[in-house]
Amino acid sequence: MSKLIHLELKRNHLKSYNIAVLIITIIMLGLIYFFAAIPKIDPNESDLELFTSYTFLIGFNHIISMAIFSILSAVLASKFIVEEYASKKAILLFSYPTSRRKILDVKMFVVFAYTVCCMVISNVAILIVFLITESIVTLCPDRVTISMIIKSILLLLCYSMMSGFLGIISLWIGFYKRSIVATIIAACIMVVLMCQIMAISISFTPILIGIFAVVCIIALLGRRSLCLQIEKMEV
Amino acid sequence: MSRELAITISQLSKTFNGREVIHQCNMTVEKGTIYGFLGKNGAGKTTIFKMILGLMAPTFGKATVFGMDSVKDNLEILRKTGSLIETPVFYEHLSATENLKMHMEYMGGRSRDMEEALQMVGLSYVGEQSVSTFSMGMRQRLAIARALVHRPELLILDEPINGLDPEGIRDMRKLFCYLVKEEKMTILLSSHILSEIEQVANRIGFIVNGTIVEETTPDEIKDKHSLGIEDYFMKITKGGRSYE
Repeated sequence: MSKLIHLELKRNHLKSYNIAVLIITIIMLGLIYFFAAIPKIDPNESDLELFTSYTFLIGFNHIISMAIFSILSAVLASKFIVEEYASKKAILLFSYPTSRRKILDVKMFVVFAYTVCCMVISNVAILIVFLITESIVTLCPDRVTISMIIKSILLLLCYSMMSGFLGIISLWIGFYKRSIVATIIAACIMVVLMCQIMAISISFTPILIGIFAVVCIIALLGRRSLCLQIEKMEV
Repeated sequence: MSRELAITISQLSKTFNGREVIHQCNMTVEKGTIYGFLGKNGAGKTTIFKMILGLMAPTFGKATVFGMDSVKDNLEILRKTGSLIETPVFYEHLSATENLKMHMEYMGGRSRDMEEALQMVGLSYVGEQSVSTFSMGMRQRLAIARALVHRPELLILDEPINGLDPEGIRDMRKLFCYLVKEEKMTILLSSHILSEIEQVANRIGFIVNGTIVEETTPDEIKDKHSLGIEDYFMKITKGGRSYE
C-alpha cells in the first residue's frame, strides 16, 4: 500500500496544491482578524455580538475552511482520478498487475488524506498565530480557555474529515459523467448546502455529529460504487 | 510436433450497444513465435488485443494466455505480458528513465536494466530527457521499451512501428526477431505496413469486419499468391475487388 501511495505521489505533483493551501491559509488568517475586528468597526450593532466570542470566530473560520478544502479536494480528485480514468491513461493503469480496486483506493486515500492533513495544518497554524497575537493586542473581548482550544481542535478534526468526505462524494457524482466540471460543480453545490447547515452546528454540536455520520455513510457508499464502476470499466 | 500455445481465443465475440463488432473469432499463437495481425482500420484488431489483456470482457467465447483465462486470471496475465495498445501515454513531467522505473515498480518481478531497455530501442542518449519533449517516433520507441522492460513472456503490440522512420522500422524488426530468438518471447503484433509483417511474422492472421477469416504463414502466401502480401490482403479484405 505504501509503495502504491509513493508511486501515486510521484506520478502527480502536489507542488501547486501546496501553494494553493498556503494562499488559503493566508487569506483565512486575514479573514479571522477581519471577523474579530467587525464589532469594533460598529460597536452599536447588536447583531455583531456573535463575533465577540472565540468559539464563534474559530467555528466560523472552520466552516469556511471546510467549504474551501472540500472544493480543493474535488479539484484534486478530478486531477488524480477523473482525468486519469477518462483519458487514455486508463489503459496504462489497467495494464498494471495490481487490482483496479486497490489502485482506486490508493488514489482516494491520497486525496482524502491530503485534504484532511492540509486543512488541519492550515487551521492549527491560523489558530496559533491568532491566539498569540490576541495575547499581545486583543481584538476579541472573550477569554481563551483550554477547554475552548480542545473543543476547537476536535471540531477542526471533524470538519477536516467532512471536507475529505465531501470531496469523495463530489468525485462519485463527477465520475458518473467522467467530467471534471461535474465534479467541481457538485462540490460547490454541496458546500453551499453544508455551510448553511453547519452554521447552526456552531451553537448546537449534536447537529454536527449527525451530519458527520450522514456524510461519512454517503462517502463510503460512493467509494463502494466507484470501486464497482472501476472493476467493470472497459477501456 | 505440436508446440505449446501462448494465446488461444475461441468463439470470441464482443458486442457494443447491440452491435457485434467481434464475431466468433478463433486464433492460436504458438509460444516463441511472432504472430502478425492484419486488418483494415476498425476491423477489430485492437478490441481483440484488449480482450486478450482483460481490458475488455468478451460478450461470448474466451481468450486464454498461457492457459490462463483472460478475465479470471487477468492480473497474472498482465504480469507476464508487455503491451502497447493504441497511442502510447506517459507521465509527461517525468523522464524516460523515470517512466520506465515507475512501470517496473508497478510490474514487480525480474526486470532488465533500464539503460539496457532504452538501448534496445535506440533511446540510450535521452534517458534523462522529459518525455514531454519527445517526438512521435521517440514516444513509440519508449513505449516499446516500457513493454519489454520487465522481461515479459508475451508482447502484445498494437501498431508498434507507427510514426517510426525507415531506420526505426528496421531497428524494431531486428529487435522483435532478437526477442523471440534470444529471449524466447512470444510476440503478437498488428501493423498496416504489410511488408514488415511479412518479414517478421511466423504466422499471419487476417481480420475482416470483426471476423478472423484466415490464418496462414508468409511462405504459404508466397506460394499461393505470386503478387505478394499486399494484393493478398486486398483480396481478402475487399473480397477480391481490384482497381487495376
